[in-house]
Amino acid sequence: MGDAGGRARPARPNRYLSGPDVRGHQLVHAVWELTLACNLKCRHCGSRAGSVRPEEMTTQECLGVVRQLHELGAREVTLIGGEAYLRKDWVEIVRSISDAGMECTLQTGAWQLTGTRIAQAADAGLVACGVSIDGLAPLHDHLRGRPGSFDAAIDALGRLREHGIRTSVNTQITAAVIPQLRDLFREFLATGVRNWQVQLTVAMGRAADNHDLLMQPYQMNELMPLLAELHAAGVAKGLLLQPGNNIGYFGPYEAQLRGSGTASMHWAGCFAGRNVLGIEADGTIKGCPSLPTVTYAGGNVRDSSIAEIWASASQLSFARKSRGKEMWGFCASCYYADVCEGGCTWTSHSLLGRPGNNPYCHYRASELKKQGKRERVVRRLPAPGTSFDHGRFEIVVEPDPDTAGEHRAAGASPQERSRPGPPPAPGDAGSHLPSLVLCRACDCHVFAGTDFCPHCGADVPASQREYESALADARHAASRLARAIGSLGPELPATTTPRA
Amino acid sequence: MTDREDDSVSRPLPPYGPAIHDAIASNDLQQMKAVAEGARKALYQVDFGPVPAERYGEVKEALEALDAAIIRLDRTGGTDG
Repeated sequence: MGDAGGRARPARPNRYLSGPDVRGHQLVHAVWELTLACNLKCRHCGSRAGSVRPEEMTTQECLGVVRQLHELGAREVTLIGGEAYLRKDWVEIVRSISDAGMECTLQTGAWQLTGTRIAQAADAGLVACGVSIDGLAPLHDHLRGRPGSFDAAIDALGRLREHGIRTSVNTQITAAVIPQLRDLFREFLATGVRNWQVQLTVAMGRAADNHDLLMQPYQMNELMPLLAELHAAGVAKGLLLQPGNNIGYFGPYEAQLRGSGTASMHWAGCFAGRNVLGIEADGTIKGCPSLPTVTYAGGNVRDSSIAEIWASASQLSFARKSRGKEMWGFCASCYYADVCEGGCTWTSHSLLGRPGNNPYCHYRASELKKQGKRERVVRRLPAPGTSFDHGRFEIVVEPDPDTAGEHRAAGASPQERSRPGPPPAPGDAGSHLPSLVLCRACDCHVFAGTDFCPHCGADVPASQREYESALADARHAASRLARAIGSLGPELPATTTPRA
Repeated sequence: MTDREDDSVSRPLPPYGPAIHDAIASNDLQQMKAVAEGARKALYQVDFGPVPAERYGEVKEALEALDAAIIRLDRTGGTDG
């Protein structure tokens, strides 16, 4: 998460993954719904939070879960809800997580997150807190079902920082918030926010009921350049915008948004059950807290140990192996299919009833736009009304009114062209480590060894050489200027020292 | 195991990703822009004392060289972030 406002560089977050973590499917991060009780009534809530679940775990059972997570090697536990602090024993659970040597973090709507609660949590070892803010005040309050909830969230951010708790803001991307993102950015800058994560609202739970809230897939062509603009502006001003796991995939902004400046970073498939697990308040275990419970519940801590579920439940291990057979629709023949594996499982399964085809993809939307097409989703079946449920939507492909008559001449699209290197053998998901390289001519990723970019036609090695030459010159010029400024006196701004 | 594999994979994970410090520290272009911005402030007396007259040309020339290099880097695929 972000920082507490101090100037000292904090330690790397525990959730950062090493190569061995990725290859060995090491559990790193557990996201734990402590209770389904909630004091907000969010119109997009996937879990339909409000009342407690039947049979929520006792304090002793929760402490047992903490012990098991520690024994499994988890490094971070994020408490969610509902609203986690509505459990009377939540501070005891925070303390037990911290005492076990794991980082304890919280995700909250911050309604009635009082000073007392914050102080108790800080004392117990809570290190970071993400606060949900889904739009400017009128939109946020409308979505959250509480007048004043926006102000409460902003206020909580300041009070959390005062107690030394690192903060971040999480924003759900609905259709309504897209035009507000620039204003929201300015609001966050003014209130000292340093980390801002965005993720798409998914057609689950109440969001499936209120499906007019959802943005349409073709709007990825509008959203992604806007996020890239805000990312660049944010880094310059000290606010890091980060894409959640259902924002992507590939296209010219992947390296910027997902890599935070590291060109080799890119999406490498769904994390569910690979390094993350989700725990529901009644002890149900899933590979990701957001997945539909009916399909992805791998067991319950009351029946089996978490280690046993993690090791053997197919509902958790599905993303550890090759998912090629799951791919369908556009994703099945996509250039990035072997690496992307259909993006976020939660998003595609909630929408279409099974994973492997995800219309909420920038690369896909942009390729369709080049062909003069766009995709919309239309609800065909409602959700039944249970926690983490979903309905059924259908993808409608239609002419894009913005590109009528402009689409490119017929030719092979990237997904129709061959790519170098053999595909992974069945059952082998590869390393799930980033493996693509960036075409410097168009900023899109390509497979290593590609001579000519399938997206823009450029000579990939030549554009990389030109980039490296320009980078070396720029580093030299920056060093020269830094020396010139630095020699003027200590009061003048050397700011940062570029790497030689 | 290679050095590359030893490195942390600074991949955003749900629900939070890397800190702003890491984003800036890992980004050449951003650092270069920060250096240029610092020089601009110095040259134009914003926030800081003026650059002495005898050094003004040197700093201005270095700044122009960096600005040109940044533009070239941008054009050749410098990812901003």
